Amino acid sequence: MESQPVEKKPENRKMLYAVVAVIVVVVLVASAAVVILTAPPAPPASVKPVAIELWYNDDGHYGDTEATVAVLLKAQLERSGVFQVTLRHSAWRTYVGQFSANQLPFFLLGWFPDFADSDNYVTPFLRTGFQSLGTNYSNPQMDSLIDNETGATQGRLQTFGAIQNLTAHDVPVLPLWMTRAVAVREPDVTGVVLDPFLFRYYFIGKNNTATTTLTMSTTDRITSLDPAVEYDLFPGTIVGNIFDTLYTTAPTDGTVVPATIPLLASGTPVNPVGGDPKVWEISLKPGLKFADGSNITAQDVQFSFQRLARINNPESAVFYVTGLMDRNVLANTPDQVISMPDGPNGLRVQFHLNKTYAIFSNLLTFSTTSILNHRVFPLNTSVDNPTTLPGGGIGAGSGPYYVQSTDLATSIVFAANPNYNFKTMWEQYASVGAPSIPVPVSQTFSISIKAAAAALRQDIQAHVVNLVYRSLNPPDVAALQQDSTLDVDLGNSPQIRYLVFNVGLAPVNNVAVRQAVAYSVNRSEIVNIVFGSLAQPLWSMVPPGWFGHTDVFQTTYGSAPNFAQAKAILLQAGFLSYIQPVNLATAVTVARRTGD
Amino acid sequence: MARASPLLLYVLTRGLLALPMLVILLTTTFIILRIIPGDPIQAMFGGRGTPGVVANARAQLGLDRPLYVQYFDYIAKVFTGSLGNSLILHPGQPVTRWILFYFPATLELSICSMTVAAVIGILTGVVAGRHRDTAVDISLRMYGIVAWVIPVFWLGLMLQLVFAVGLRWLPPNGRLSPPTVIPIPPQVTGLYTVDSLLAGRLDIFVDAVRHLVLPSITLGVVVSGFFTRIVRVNMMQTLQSDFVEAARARGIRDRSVVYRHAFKNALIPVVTVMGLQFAALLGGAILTETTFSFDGIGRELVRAIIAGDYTMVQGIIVFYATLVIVVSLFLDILNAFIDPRIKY
Repeated sequence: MESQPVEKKPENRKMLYAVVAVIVVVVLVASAAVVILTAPPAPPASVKPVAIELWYNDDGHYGDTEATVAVLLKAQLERSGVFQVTLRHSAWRTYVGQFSANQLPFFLLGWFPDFADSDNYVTPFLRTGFQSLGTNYSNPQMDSLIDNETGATQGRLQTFGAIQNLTAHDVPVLPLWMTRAVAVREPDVTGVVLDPFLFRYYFIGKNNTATTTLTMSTTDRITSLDPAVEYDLFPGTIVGNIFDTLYTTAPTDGTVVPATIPLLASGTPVNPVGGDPKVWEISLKPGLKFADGSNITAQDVQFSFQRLARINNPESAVFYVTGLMDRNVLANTPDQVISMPDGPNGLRVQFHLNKTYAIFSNLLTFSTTSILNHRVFPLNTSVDNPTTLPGGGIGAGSGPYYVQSTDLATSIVFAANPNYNFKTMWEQYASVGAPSIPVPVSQTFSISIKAAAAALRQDIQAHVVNLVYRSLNPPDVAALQQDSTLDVDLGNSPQIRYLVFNVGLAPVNNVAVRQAVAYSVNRSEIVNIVFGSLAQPLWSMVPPGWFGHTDVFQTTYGSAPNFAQAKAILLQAGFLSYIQPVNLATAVTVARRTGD
Repeated sequence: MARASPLLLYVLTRGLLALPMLVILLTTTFIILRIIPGDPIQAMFGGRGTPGVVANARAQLGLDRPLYVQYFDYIAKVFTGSLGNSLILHPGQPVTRWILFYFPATLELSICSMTVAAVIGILTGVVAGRHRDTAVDISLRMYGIVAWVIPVFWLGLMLQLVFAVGLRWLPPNGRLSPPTVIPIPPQVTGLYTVDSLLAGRLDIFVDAVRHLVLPSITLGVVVSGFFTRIVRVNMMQTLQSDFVEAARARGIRDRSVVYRHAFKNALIPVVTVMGLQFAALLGGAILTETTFSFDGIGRELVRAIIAGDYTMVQGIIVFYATLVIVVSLFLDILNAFIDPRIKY
């Protein structure tokens, strides 16, 4: 007879597993119960936080760090206990449309100034009817202060102080940090001045001597090199190297406020003329020539401004000029607004503005107001690439360089202007930072345009180029600082980063909310964690190194976050409604007594 | 009356079938670009444009018209040979001009990459197929899989790190050295290697080739993975076919059987696959060109998408599609010539 297999053993084992499983579950449940029951009671929510949406750009318009900054800001605001922040993000072209259409209540933005005057950090955000850039801010007191500041040079310092104080009180914008300009170069490259107003290629050479050729890489892009069209930092910089303006700023590394100095102009402008403060007279230096050897005269000045009005490109910065001179008059009968007392071949021009504008000479440092050769440029049409002009465009301008070749997409090569008069133009400014050797220092200067910041690091580490400038990633800069074969220069950039409050949208339409945010953010933390040495905290919309700067947000809200003050302000304004904490022990006792 | 040749009929049929395909692609692109959020005109002004200025610009560019009007207008233009003008990247300039400006770089990269892919892929495929199920075969199959799945940008970055930044044997990016060091050759074809030779400048030719090495290897290695696998399978099938057995039975040396008889026949299907791979190559070129700052049409497409330059994106996609259709058709016809089994 065949014996049956013994089945008992596996059953016993199953039973054992079941018992063990039950014990484990019981122990876990019991442990959880003990932890929960013996835990100190959570502090009752004393306030109902203000819910706000913080928006940021997510497709790299401001580099790769934007999301990190937004997360950090959310953490800082929520750490105060009075805000509950929801992060939202969109691509740049959506973002711009959103804030232009007043859809974003609270968002991150950045700003590069257009020309060398502190007003450019004020008017665009704060003056009623100006660009607003998402703030929707309107305050007659602020408008009056801005009009004073642009209308007269006397008392301008005090006016800027008052503007900044009022900004700190109303908080339509909240300055956070300013970026540092970075250039990485081979050690023998000299003359790199990280000037926030104009990066001058023509100062750069090797070993402070006349140099044959110099090469640079960048990730910046060119759309147009026509002063009547371009309105961006890189094209503006190129324009500043190939055209001269009537005035410019003394070279600076951004730590001091530079003086406005005559460039094509022979001296400071005459104002008022004939007792009229709206009329400005400017004389050109005698003997000035364009790169093709033709003379620079009053006619070229009038032509350059008339051309701005004729082309009237909506993407350009022409509005600065047409805001001071009637566009139709300037376009069709320019003599009425820019007269030439000594005739077209003379050297004097008189600008007849439609309002008093004390900072007019500062506006004339802006690349849009570059002086063009009327014999070379067409009056009515824009020319993106100067090499397509007659004669290869050599005579287009009078700057230290002319454009030898460019496709506007991948590279640009500059060659020295053979008619550039160093003695007349720069020799006198050696004491304020100009080179003591003739400029342009390098006979040719080429810029290669690369797709991404990583390429800049590769180019300079492989010594393919002599210099790379702008848009380097913070980790790349840190790595390059360790490279003994390279030098890293850091300087003040004119770019500021700030938070915008749309004062027309709740809850940030209440000044108390904006002030509470100002009390809660921690600029130093953002700079230290995200940017390291590539940024510095910013305490005013007018950054350090610019006329009238004061650290007004630091004075008003302190250097470190003040959560108590944030809470107090919001409570006073009726936010943070109390949810009365419930004492469970008392509640149970009362219930029992009621039950009794 | 003479009858049209079957091949001509085939080409005409394929050409006619391509038209609806192109329209579908155009329509899809047109719709997608307008569905995704964002206003390129607002972005163009960076938030500085007043509503009036933005509205004027929109009207000037025809973007204020109803979508269906814009659509039919665009389709009509495409079929009359105009891809329109760029909106954002090169305002007012013809899209065609910029496509022709960037395309030679992509073509140069594609040719070199395809060469690298074909050489590596065919070589490894033949060796793997001949040594079926040996350690060599397993290693090369592994190579095929790894090469095919490796992210092209990662491989590019690694090659840059080692050969450009570390060893400094090759330039890290770009198509040529800075223009003050090596001038851009006078444009004839736009292919720097060809133009430099036409100009008699060997120094420019060498520089252009040096700049092509890393991106071509990057893209070529990735595409070679596919070739390795296809050629291996074809080689194995061919080696088992009757004519190979017959050749062996006649006492022909094994080496001769493999390389003179089987190899040629194993390559025939590869030609068909090359057509498909050409599309993959163009896709890969977008990443490769961005990684290597190689100024080709792929890099321009990325920029156009980010900027929301509708006409530029549409133009490049139409161009890509046409290119793939034409190349596929050409390879199909070529296949008919080299493969006696195919008749039209």
